[in-house]
Amino acid sequence: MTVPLEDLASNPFFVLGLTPAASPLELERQGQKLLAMLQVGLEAATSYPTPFGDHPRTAEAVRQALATLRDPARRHEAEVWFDLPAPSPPPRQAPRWTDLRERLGWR
Amino acid sequence: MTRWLPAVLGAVLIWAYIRFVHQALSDGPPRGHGRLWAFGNTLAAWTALPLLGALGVRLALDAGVVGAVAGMLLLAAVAVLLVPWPLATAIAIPRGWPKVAYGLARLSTLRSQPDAIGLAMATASRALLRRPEPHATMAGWIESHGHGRPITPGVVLAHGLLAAHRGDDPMARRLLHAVEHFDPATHDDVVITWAREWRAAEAAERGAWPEVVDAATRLGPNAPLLRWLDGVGRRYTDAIDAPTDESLDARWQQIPIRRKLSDLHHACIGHHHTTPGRSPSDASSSPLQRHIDALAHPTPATLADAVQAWSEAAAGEAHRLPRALADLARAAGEVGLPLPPLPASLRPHVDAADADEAVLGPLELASQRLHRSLMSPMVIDPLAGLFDWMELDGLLDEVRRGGSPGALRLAFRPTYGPLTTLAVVLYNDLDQPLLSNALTRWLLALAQEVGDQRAVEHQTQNLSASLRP
Repeated sequence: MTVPLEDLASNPFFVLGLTPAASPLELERQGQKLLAMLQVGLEAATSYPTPFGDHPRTAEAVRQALATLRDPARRHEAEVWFDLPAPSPPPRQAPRWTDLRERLGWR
Repeated sequence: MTRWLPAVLGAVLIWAYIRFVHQALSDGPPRGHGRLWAFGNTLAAWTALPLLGALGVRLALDAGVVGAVAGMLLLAAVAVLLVPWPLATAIAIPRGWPKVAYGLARLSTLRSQPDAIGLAMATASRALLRRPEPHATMAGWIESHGHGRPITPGVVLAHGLLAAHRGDDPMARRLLHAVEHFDPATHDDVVITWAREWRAAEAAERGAWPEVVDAATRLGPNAPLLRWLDGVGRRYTDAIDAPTDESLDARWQQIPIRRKLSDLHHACIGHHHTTPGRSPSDASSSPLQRHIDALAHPTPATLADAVQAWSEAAAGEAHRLPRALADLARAAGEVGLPLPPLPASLRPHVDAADADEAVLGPLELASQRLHRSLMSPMVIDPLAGLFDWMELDGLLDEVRRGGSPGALRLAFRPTYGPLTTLAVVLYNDLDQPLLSNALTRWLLALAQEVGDQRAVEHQTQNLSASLRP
């Protein structure tokens, strides 16, 4: 997975398991609940789903998500990049013709 | 009078051929201009050589042992002189004999215009490529034939092949691509065909099929191999206009060495079991889908699809475009690909990134070095000017690959200024009109790529001024 796709998978709404319709109060409650679950080691809290597959959830990621969503401009950015499709299957790999120059007399 | 006319005409043609051979053996620049001159030399050769051959036969049959040996030697020389170019390509190159290849190419009357020395250097370089180990002395010998002479497309091809011989494929790619910028009237058909064939083959070895298409799609004169590689490249890039199985097979059948390529050809046919091309539903899917696909699997095709989808939806997606374009550029850079050129509708949405400094810094240093060298009182070596141009060309490719979508525009001015000065110096002071003209064409293409209208007009004027009658 490329770094930009990892960044999209770190959308704070994905991390908190909420949608952009969530109110600030709901966000805070969900964040505290997840932090508590992570503190006691509940397995259900250790990962979150994204359109690109499950990702590990850490207390640090949850705190960062809450901080991001408290900033209106950054929350707007997260809302814009929330509704994402899953990637299509990879395209067929074209081969490498590793000895073509030799066959054509260039080596 | 009419009785003597054939004899006089024959004598003139023999004299013309002897003068041509003398010119070739002394490695002097070819006299005359144009393909008509080459035809005249060929006519002279084919008049003089049968007469010499007849003399050889007569000596061999009538003049005792010494005469027979002399006659046989004369016949052998005539045989070589009749078909020097086929001998160069069929024997000297495959055997790896650069000096023989050079000599035979120089003796070819058909290849004596418009770039005899450049083509001979390229032929020798191609022969050198067949040697398993790098041979610096021989490479120096080939290069020495270009000293003090105009830098022609053949000379650039030769330097490109010598770079490949040293193992420097990126430099070879740039030099062979630079051949495309020369005026088509200034190079032999073989030069452009070889340059495209090498570029296409090298790109195919890397699996860079869009580059194969780029090199082969221009096609060369009588180039069935390039036509076939163009079709293969289009199939492997899922191009909408990729040839069908039957069409690709017809192209393959025209290649003289097709047996060596049989397994590759059939693998390409087998790669696509259905009609190639994308379905209409794919083409109409959302830019977000294309974007995510490109980030998940960055390839030239997925990146081009994403850029096109964002371009078509630019009006309604302005809020997503700056990040989308930056992300595509980062994903492309991670796998060493350039982001496809951005259409005008997307350029206003580009943000320059901090990462640009990493690719712009070396470019600015190189352009400052070139500027200082142009301003110094020392006379510039034209060949050094060619390599300065190639260095900046390579650094611009780094900007295309690793910079933000707007980085190329930032790189344009530092590159454009010194190279425009270099083109003027090459033309006015160094008597290198061909190289100057090629550089001007390259600058024009760059100005068009970044959409700088003033620079486009400037280079168009320079180009028309640099075309000598």
